[in-house]
Amino acid sequence: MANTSLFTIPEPIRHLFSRFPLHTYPPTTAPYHTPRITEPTLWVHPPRSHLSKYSKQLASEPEGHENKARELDDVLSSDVECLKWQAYLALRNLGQKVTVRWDVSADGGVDGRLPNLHVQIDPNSKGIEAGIKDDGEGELLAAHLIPEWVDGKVGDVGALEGYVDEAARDESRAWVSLLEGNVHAALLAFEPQSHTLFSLLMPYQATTSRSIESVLPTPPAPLTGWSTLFRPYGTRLDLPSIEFKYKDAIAALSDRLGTDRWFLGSSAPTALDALAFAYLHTILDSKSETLRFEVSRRVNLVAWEQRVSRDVKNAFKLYTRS
Amino acid sequence: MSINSAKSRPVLHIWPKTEFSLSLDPACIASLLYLQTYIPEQYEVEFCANPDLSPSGQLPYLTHGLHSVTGYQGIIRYASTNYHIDPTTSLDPVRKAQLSARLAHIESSLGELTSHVLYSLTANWTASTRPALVSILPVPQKYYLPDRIRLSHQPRLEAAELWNLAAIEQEEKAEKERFAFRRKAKKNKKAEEKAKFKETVERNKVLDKARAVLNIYSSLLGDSKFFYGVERPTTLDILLAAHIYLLEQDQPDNLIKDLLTTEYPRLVAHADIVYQGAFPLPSTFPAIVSPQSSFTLRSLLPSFAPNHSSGPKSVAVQEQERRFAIMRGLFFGGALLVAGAYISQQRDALVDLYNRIQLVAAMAAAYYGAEENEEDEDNEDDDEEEEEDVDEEAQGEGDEIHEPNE
Repeated sequence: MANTSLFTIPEPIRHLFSRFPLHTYPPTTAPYHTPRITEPTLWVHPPRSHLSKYSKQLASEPEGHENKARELDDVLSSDVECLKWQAYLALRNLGQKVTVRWDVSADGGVDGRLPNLHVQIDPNSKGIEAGIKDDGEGELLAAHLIPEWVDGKVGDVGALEGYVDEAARDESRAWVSLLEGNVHAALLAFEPQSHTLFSLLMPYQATTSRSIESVLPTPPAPLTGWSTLFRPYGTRLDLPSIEFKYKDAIAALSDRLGTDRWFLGSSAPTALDALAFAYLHTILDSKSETLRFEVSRRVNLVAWEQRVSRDVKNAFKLYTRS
Repeated sequence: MSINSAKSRPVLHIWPKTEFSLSLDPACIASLLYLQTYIPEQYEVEFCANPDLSPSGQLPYLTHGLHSVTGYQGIIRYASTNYHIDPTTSLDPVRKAQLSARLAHIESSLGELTSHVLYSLTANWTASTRPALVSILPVPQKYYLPDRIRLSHQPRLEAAELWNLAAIEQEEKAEKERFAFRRKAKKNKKAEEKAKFKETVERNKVLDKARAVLNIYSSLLGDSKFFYGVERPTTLDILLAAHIYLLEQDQPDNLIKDLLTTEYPRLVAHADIVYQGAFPLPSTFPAIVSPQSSFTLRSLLPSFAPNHSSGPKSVAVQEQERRFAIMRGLFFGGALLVAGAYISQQRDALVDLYNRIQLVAAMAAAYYGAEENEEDEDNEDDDEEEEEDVDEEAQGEGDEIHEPNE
């Protein structure tokens, strides 16, 4: 429908406007081409052995030197949240290896957090609008969208989510709370945070995990006290209580696993197994002796972690830039 | 009972009673129910409105002579060890492990719901929780501590998507408008409908979360009196009952209470059984100790040294404290070094400043010294004149004396 207007541009002005643009340059092609995504790639925080090397690479080394062949042992992320999703992808048996990369800063992820899963656009997917052209760059999925993507590949887990019955499924919620509450609080309280001078001087600090205030069941007291007239500062942690709850949680985990192949007597790995593996592996890899000792003295947990670790590592391969 | 044995009884420190509940905190209620169920008349209660007195800065905590423990699980452990209580003796290791997990689940999920009802729902906060806190706190804490406590729940509730930010912002806006000396803004019907729709969606989300947790424990309890079919309430029964007790209280916004009453009467009945088992009669409430210490002027100042809890510390805690002490020493040492380096660099300027001060002082001394000399000279002149006058007078008198004789 043609737009009609009461006002018309006078002819001399129209003639003047017709002279512009004075010159049109030919289109320029960008020197960098995004490689076409051909396989699912998981963006994670780097493994512990690469943490100091990674920060140096970001600060000094030019691009192109990052992609060296590394040992297979360095595939598992040092961040428990990323490792959880790595384990989840591995234990769901996708039937293909997933590429893993850690040369992407968390700022580049969805909502500034990792992990993210970079996948090809599936034209048959219900979420994709009709007519969207696949330019080869794929789509980036936030962590909470990974289960939906995996269900699309291997099929839905069903109402029981892989557990033997409803009681086991309900019980799994309690174990998830125990791991994400008591165990995670101990990791945050006792695991020393590694800082480089570069990260301390940076005005913006990317958050790698939840804060301890959001994990503890009761809000911790401020370091300066509740009653002070001044603005409260810092956090006072009840370390003996956190430690006791952690030890109790590990003992309970060990007793519940017993000699079973998977937690809660499941015949196949479930989301709870992925979560438990992530925490056990992170604890055994941590610098805190108290945390490590409590797990390493439970033989069944160590043996279970080692067995699952092999399965998880075999499901990933390192990213190589073409 | 003799004074000595009365003094040796453990004292449970919890938030004071309010109009609508035994205490404001589910952990305080659970600790009270546990001790009353298993060691009635063998402990005392102190209503404490100053959590800074606790070794961890949180209530509840228990003191027994020089020993103190904090938190619900710490108090259970202490009571189990000292009074040989174990309500789970009949359970196998797997069930005991499940019990540990479920305790964490209730503390986490039901705890978030309870915090949402008390601190996030605007109607409950303004009409019930805040007035209750204000009534138990002294001046000036009653003016700022309630909001501070409310904000301390924000990180956890935000992570659980139970922090009703839109409603809280609306509440703050209404508060400002109430005290603003200008005409109220016209109500926008469309915006109000949108806000109402959003609120309904949020409330349904909260109800879904509540159902997800309550369904689990309703089916686990079944028709049994207590979980796992035991004779006496376990720590799980007591903790669940404490949360249900708080959620069941009559509030301006009975979002969860209505859900419990209509869909989970079995859980409400279970909470009543646990409560009646602990307090069959009103007179069975434990002895209340008058608060020995309360807010002082010192509590208005920031305190960086935490109250050290008694008892042996674990290796991890000692290691943490040692590391903190080293970092603190390094920080202050570094600050002194930097200050010293700065001062030594500015040495010339400081020497120059010192010389100027000396010069000014000398000039001032000279100026005031000259004035004093002038004054002294004037005084001397005056004195000489006086002496001359005196001499003249004396001479005059002498002449007069001599003249009559002649």
